[in-house]
Amino acid sequence: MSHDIRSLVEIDRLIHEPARLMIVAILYAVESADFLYLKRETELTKGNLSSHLSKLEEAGYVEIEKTYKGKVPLTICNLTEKGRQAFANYRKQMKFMVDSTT
Amino acid sequence: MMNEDIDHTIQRTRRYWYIDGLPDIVFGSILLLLALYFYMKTVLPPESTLANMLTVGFVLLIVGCGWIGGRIINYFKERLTYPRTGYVSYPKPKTSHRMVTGIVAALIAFMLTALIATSPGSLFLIPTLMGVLIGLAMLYFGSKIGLMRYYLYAALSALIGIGLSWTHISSDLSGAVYYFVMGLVLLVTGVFTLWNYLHQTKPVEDD
Repeated sequence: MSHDIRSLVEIDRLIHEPARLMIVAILYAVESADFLYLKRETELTKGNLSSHLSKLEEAGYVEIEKTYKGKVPLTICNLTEKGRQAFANYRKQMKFMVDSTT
Repeated sequence: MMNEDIDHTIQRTRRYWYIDGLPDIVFGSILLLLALYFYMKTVLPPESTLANMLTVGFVLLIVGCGWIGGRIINYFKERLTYPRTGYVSYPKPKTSHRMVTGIVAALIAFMLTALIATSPGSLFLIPTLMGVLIGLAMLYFGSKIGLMRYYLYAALSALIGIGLSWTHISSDLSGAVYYFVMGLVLLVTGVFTLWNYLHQTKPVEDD
């Protein structure tokens, strides 16, 4: 198997899915962001966003904390160290693939 | 989603802090305070108690304004921005990054002082240097997060600096004029940005 194809096979499919990639890219740039911000930026429905966040949480890429600001419920999300590493690796692999095909 | 899209998403997320114009309003207000500081220095007798207090209190003014400014931004963001478009917190700058910034600032201050000491005739160039340096810092910052209005601030800063050098007025008065114009522009732009933001968004009841 060529190195290019092997790279493609080794791509992290959990992050590769477009909606989750967007969520991870947003969280990569910040310390934490709430559900409202993620929903607005990704333009996903509540249900879809919850589902993607749950998958990322199960993989240990994202931590979700439910809290209150005054009486307002707040769902705060942040990328774990494992998630940051996975995202950095994903970008490296994608860059390598793009560079090797151009 | 290609690498460029990812870069764009990361940049837009970093830019979010400036979406409401609040940082511009607070920064502009701080610059107006600085303008008042330099103006007071031009009208007070040089050896008066108040003039000496102003000189000694300059560092305190800068640090105090930064500290209070940050709290004012957070206070209004919690009430205006987060209920509308969501809460985001950013990582604190790394110590190494802060150290590099501090070293660069100290080097520039040292070079300016050396320039004035060795060539007093070059004093009239100080507003140009100040305007261009602050402009370059704004240009770098604007390009880093992709914020167009910071390019305009950068150009304006350089233009005011160069213009003030031509007038040959005292350094304190040129400082006062520079900070007054820059502060006013930032304040007005910030208020306009905030007004637009408040008209385009509305508070969301739950997340």
